[in-house]
Amino acid sequence: MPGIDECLCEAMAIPGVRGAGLVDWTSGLALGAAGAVAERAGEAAAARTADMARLAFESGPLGEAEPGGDPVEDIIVTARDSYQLLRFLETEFDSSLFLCLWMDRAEANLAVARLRLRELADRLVLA
Amino acid sequence: MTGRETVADILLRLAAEGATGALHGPLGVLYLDEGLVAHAESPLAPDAGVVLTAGGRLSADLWNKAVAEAGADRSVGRFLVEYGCVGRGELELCHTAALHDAAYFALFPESLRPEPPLPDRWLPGSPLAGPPLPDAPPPGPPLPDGERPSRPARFLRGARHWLGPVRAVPAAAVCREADRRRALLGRVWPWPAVDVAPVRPNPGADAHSGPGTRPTRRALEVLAAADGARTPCDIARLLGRATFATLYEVRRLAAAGYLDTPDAGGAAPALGAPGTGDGVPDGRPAPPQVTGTAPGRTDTAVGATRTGDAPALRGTRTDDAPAPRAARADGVPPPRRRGNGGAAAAAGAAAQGPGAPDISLLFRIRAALEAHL
Repeated sequence: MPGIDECLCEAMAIPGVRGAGLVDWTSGLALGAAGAVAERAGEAAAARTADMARLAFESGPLGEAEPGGDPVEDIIVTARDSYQLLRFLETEFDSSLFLCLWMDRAEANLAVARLRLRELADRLVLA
Repeated sequence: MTGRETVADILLRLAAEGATGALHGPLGVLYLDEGLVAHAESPLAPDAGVVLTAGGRLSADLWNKAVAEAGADRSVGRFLVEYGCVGRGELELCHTAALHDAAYFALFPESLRPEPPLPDRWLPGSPLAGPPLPDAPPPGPPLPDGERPSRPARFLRGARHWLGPVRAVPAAAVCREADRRRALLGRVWPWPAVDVAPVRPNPGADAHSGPGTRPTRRALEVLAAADGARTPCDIARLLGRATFATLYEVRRLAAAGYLDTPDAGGAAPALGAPGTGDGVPDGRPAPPQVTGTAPGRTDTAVGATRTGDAPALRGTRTDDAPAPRAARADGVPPPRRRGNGGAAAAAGAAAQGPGAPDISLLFRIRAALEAHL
């Protein structure tokens, strides 16, 4: 039964991952961080990522803020040298959290990383 | 300003010493465990128990049972996880969020106004309050209305929280996060009074909303819970949501014009010369009404916000809406506090006239300008 730190540690073991974080998109708080984002600069990176996550989550996949619409599950950001992968957590209590991976594009397998991240997210919130 | 230490200064000093104990400030308690912040509690922030039970994750009976059986041993968290009531990850997530939520208030600088109101009691007798600590400070004598306790922070060495160790956070990170949250709220809508005043939905909201300002699902939940009497803190507790998240939604709703903006500080109105008795607009720009200290605002400026007859808004709208200006010259009563139907109705009617500018946008511009004075 993993806690936050174990979850991030396992995330760092995914091939190609350079940094991992657990962030609250309402406040921008980094509840946990590992790897390249585990220092002060990482807090700013978490807050910026949280803005993007919040906009995407609140807008919904079709850009309409429908109250009963599809909740966003994950976000993939592709840059020339890197991937950023965000997975929203579904908890049975009120929360606004997502897991985030920063990956090297040459080393990472995006599909594998996305599936692993989903597993980690599910295990973190289950009893 | 005297050299009196803030709660944050004391916390950092104790953390550097590796202290263990409970730091009691005016608005909350921070529990240190060998220099790390292990817990935070505030009457203004729902604790992990409220969040877990209100969300339906745990029944209140189960929570109470855990507290009753393991509270004295200071190991309620471990009890819950061992008996499979919550997962370890869930507990850590919930606890960390509640810690920062309470720490925001515990570290609230006394120099900021308006400060969140201290409730009459720290929820004694509530089943979710947890067992009383033997070393909890006794409640002080009741203070006259409006007076805040000025006792300095006290540190009870060795005190531990009944939840037990979950996941401790460095003290510097807690302080940084509290500062960051304060700045974030200010960027959203620099009107601290909405944090402490009852949340009142604005019935004319649809007329003010524009593209991109429709409330999100979470904001709609807050709006639905607003009955005109509940403060954001009450709504947070009702929804089982962090108070900060609720404050954030309230500020966003206020910025978009969905809420009635309360007067700053709630003091009795003292409308200055341009507002009182002078119902005739003359289009001159607003004389400086705001005092030098942000976020303080004079009541003249605040009263003006509500009615829309403010010199500032007149000045802004002179070029845009000649029709409302002419209407005002017909003896509209002088601006009054929020709640006066006449002036508010006149403002509302004028706002919806042909070519009337977007009121919520003007409010936001005005508030942003004042915040920079």
